[in-house]
Amino acid sequence: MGEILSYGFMQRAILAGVIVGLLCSVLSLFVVLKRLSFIGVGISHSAFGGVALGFLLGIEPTWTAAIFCILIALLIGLVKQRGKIQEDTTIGIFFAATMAFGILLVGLSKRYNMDLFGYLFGNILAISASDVKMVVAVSIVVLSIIAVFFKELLFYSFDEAMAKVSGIPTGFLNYLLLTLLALVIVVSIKVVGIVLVSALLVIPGAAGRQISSNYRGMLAGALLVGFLATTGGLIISYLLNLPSGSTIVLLATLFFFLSLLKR
Amino acid sequence: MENILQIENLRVLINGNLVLDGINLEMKEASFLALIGPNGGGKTTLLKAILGLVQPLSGKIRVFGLKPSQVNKKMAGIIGYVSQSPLFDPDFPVSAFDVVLMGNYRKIGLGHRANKTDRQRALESLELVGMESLANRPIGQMSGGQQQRVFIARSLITRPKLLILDEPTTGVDALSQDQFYRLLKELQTKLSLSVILVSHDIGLVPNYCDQVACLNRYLFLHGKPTEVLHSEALREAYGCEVDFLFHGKMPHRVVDQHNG
Repeated sequence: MGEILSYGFMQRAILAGVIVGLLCSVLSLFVVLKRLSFIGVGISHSAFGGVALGFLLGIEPTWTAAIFCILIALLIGLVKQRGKIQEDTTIGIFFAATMAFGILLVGLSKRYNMDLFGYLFGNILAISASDVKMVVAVSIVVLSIIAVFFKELLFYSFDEAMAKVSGIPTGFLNYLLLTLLALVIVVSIKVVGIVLVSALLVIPGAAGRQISSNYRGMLAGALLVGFLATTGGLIISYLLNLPSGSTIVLLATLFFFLSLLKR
Repeated sequence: MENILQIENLRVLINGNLVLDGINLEMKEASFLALIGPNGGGKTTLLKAILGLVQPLSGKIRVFGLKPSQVNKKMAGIIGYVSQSPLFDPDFPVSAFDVVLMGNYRKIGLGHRANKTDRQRALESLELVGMESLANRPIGQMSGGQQQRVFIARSLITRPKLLILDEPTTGVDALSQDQFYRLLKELQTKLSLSVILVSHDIGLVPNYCDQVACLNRYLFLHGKPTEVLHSEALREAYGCEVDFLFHGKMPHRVVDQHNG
């Protein structure tokens, strides 16, 4: 066991993994309560278009992915606000279109890029010291914003119309929550990958909700599941030589099924 | 006594339809107004206009002497609102106490947590509606009637002078409805509240209010309850006969609800 932490890459992986796990768990509270899980899928898949663009242009793909994700998140928010087209319809379109755009760019680049698979399915070995710094920085920003707006976000999730009437800036909170979601997705991609990141934004919250009928207990449960799934998943994937992203998500799913026994 | 609500010649257009036209309405302090009328008759729109959530095409609205858009800024919390929507999510993980506290979030302010005074106020609001013993119960595990009481408590936490309720008894059984209206009347007297109650329940509501207004794009009348129930105007507003079944002292409506 001890040898795991003697490798630099494993130290970085576990550090980034635990932070991402906890960060996603906090956000999963609102993803589950405000029913944003499909939005999470839409935003995370749009990262693929951004990553491919970064590869083609020779820019750090995380940056292009970040811009792509935030843009798509705000677009989804705009459509939601206007309310003329159904939200899931919009997401279904953006989600496919940005993936198609990414695949087109990969085709244009005419080289088979292994790194691209790292972005799709997560590559814990590829986490650099600067990646860890970015995870830490984004976590501080996102968690500070959530701390400031926590009770407003809770009211917004519970009853948007009433929150608006009582003077809570619901329009702003709509965009804020989606932007935070985009930021968290981008920094989580290297750990679990584009395809699987949305799971980390749903499962901890869903399990927490099974455990407790109060949001405080739900948050505690989500954090516990997020922590155990990421650390446990990374250790198991190292010991058994399994892909880290899928091990984390499957372990989280196992915790979710265990939480169902509670009720 | 000054009018707490003054509406003159109000017209409201929603998606190209004139939903409200030529509305004139006055409300005195501590009065109880029931607003009835068919579905799609503009009841909710009128409430939204008073709350400043809908912009009128023309006409004047003054609430406590201010434009609706100003009321929220200068006199935040002076209007309490209870919407018709049942729980968006019946399993939402908050207790009755948490729900009541939400009504005070704006006052508590960004980045601040509820302090002892805020918590005390939330408890007092729950006491007003007789729900203090269920303060810690998850909202989803309460009956429809209990939930509505909690929502009233939430609207009372800012100590409003005007309470607006939009079909608050949707999804509440008949017995609880009666108790609910009685509680409302009690609160109105106790806290000298002005109340605007939108209801389909034209059988029960007139027993509790001072005035009834019938709305079907036009505000049909604005008089004492006994006048309304026997009035032609009610028939006109609903577009058909409204029959009542009398047993005991309580008249009950027996026709089905219909779209106007």
